[in-house]
Amino acid sequence: MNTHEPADGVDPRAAAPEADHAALDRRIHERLTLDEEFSDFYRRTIRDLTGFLVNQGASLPEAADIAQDTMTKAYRGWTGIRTPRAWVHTVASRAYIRQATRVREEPADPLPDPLSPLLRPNAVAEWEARHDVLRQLPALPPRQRQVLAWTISEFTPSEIAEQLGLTSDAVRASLKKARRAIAAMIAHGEEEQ
Amino acid sequence: MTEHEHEYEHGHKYEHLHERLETGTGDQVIDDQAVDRWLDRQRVLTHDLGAFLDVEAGLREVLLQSRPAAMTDDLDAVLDVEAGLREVLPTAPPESPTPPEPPARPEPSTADTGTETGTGSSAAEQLLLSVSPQTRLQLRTHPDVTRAFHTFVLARGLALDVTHMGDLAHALVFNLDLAHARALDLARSLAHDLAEDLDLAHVRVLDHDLAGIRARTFDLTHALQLAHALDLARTYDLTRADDLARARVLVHDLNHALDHEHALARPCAHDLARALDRAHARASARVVDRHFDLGLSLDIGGFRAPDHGPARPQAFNLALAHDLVNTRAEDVRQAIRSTLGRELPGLDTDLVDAFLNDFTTSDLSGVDLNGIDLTGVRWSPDGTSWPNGVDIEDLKARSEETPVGSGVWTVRSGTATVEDFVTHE
Repeated sequence: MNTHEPADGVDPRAAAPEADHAALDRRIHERLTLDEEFSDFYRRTIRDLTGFLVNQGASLPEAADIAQDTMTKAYRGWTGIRTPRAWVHTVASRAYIRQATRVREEPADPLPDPLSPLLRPNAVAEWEARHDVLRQLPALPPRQRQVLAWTISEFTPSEIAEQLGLTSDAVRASLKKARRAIAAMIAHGEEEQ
Repeated sequence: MTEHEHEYEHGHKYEHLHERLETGTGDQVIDDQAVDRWLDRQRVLTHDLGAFLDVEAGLREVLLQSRPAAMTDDLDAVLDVEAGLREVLPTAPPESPTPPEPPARPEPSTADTGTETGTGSSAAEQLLLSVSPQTRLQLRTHPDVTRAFHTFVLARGLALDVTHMGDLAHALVFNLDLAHARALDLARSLAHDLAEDLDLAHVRVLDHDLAGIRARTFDLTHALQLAHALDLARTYDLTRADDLARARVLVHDLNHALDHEHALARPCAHDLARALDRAHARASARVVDRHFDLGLSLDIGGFRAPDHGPARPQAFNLALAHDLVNTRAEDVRQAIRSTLGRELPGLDTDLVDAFLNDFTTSDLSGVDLNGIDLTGVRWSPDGTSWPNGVDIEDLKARSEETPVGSGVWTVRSGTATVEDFVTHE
């Protein structure tokens, strides 16, 4: 009798491997379902999320990076996220603000990271050439620009308020000011022409 | 109506934002439609982003980056971390100071003398409990038991040799070219050495010569195996005509040489057996006989039945060797039985060694050790209780930890009685 031989059917641990296998099967199945769900969400949301960050003032590479990071976080915490679309917008928005603040404070950190795989090769130059107009976004204060970006992404003021921890009135007030600035910009452009 | 519904009630999502703005310079109408157009255009631009994004590549990255973490979770479900940890940690559990068993035990009767220690199994424990440690200590000093055990150890060593020999033969089948040249040289020189050794054995009929004889016989059987491989070469390597011709000559020479040595060795062995008989060591002589039986079997297997390949003679040799070990173990049992005056039903072949030498868990505190030779006794600092006055450090100095780190110590050979370890104050 040695430790390599199985016990004579009295070992309570004998049933454990089968239970482990069943548990593993269940987990694999759960993970596959989760992957499917998440992939669907990613495909539906990633463009809008990237544009949302661009609208907040991020460059396209920055936006792609932050959107991708945010999606990675979402995947890891997927089962605990109740409203994924709002969640990724909130998290991405905060990440962008943190990054923008850091870059402002540490201007000596200009080295760009390698481009996110999300971004097609040569996309940046082409994008900037085609959408020069984005540069014309009015120089809004951060809060107004943030609220404007959420609005373009078709969130309602109450949803924006909930996500940003503001009151609906405060959101509306910011939006009102933003619209005023846009109107001024449009009028100014027409005058120039 | 909820706030959300209210926001969309007018059909245009920006309508609720339309307003007149009062400014300090007078009424100014915000061109709401222009602002809405601007916002819509902005939305179109955002959607256009899709052309610049490789969505599938991005998705793959997220899934792959996160997969290791998920996999780690999955692994947790199937891995027995604690069991793995136990295997890695070197310390044995305190209640069982015996070292871990060897990873594999091919045959029960071929266990290595040098490293074998008491098994931790209940059969061994039961056996050890059935006889008091004092009785066991006395048994191991009884001349009959000592002699029988000594031949048992020799037989076990031989069985191990045979096993190794089988490995060697197996390897040789794949190294036939190499075997060509070496076989004859080795066989000749070994046969020569054997003749010399047997002559010496004539004169010096001592127990320890048996080891030398055994080694030489072993070498001879090696040579026979080599020759066997050579013979196989003849079968397999049909394209090398020159080599074959040479090999045939070599095999022929070798046969002659070995026949000659065998003829020489037989009477020597006979004399040796008679001498050993006279020295009341019949068991030892039987070992020699068995060696020649083995040699012969290799001879038969190697030369007379090459068509069967190396498996059959090797299996035959192993069976013979195990038979020999079992016979020797029976001799030990017989010696113990007659000394003890009773049967020990659990004393299997692979427990003989533990029965006589394993004191790793024994309470010897009340045992009179005066005059008892402790050579070969296995003990453990945690499990063995010694009588008062035994200096453990001194005992350690005269022992060897086998294997190192196992916590099991074996008293080295030499006259080591308990008086040596008592601290005199």
